[in-house]
Amino acid sequence: MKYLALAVSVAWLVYFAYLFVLDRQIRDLRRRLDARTRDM
Amino acid sequence: MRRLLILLTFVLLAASTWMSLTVGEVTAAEAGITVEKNIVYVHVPSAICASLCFVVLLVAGIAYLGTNSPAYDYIGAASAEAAFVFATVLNATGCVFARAFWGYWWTPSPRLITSAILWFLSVAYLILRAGVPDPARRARACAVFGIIAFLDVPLLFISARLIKDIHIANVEFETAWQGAAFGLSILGTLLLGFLLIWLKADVLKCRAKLEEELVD
Repeated sequence: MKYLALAVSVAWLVYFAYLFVLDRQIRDLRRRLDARTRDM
Repeated sequence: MRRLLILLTFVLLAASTWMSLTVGEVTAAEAGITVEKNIVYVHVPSAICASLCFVVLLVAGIAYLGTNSPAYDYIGAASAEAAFVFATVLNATGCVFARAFWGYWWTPSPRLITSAILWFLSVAYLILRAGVPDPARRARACAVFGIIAFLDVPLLFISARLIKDIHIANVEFETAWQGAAFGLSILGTLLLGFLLIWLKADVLKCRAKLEEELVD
């Protein structure tokens, strides 16, 4: 069972790492959109 | 809608994780020895999702070449990134299992080779995408590469069934709870894959729109 726990940890770690990257990209996009709205 | 889907995905994955850790003990006979197969709850759903991402990549590639619509290029790029995520989980969990029960991290067996190729193909797609600056040329090159890369998916699935392999072809569940945990895990991972593609495709679409406006 410890190998399942290890595998689950690896999977959740990879998923959350990618979600973190995606979240940063969305925040960056939102910042650029806000800046554009202010400029207009 | 998206928040609801994110919440549902998290609940499904958490429930399947809890069920697999509590009632999911799976064993299978391998060369006369009973071996723990619990890893199936993470390994198989990520294999299915990685393969489905490549199917999306194939369809998006064909659709882009047929219509030249950038929307299909964004979907293809998003599915390649999702394929990279799931192929990473597939190979990493496979290595953990191989080291624990076979005694080595990796061995050149047909299914392990095709799984590794799947990961390298997703990496190659992302490198290709980053390496071509012109959007139209990049989209066309990526569409063609995506169609060719898909050829590894059928090989991955038939490899352990057609050729004698250290990797087993199937795992049978002993109780309904184990089947339920497996089903939830597949459903949660599929939803996660769908969400990742949806979010990333939207990010790419908005980014392209912003860059177009900046150029204008």
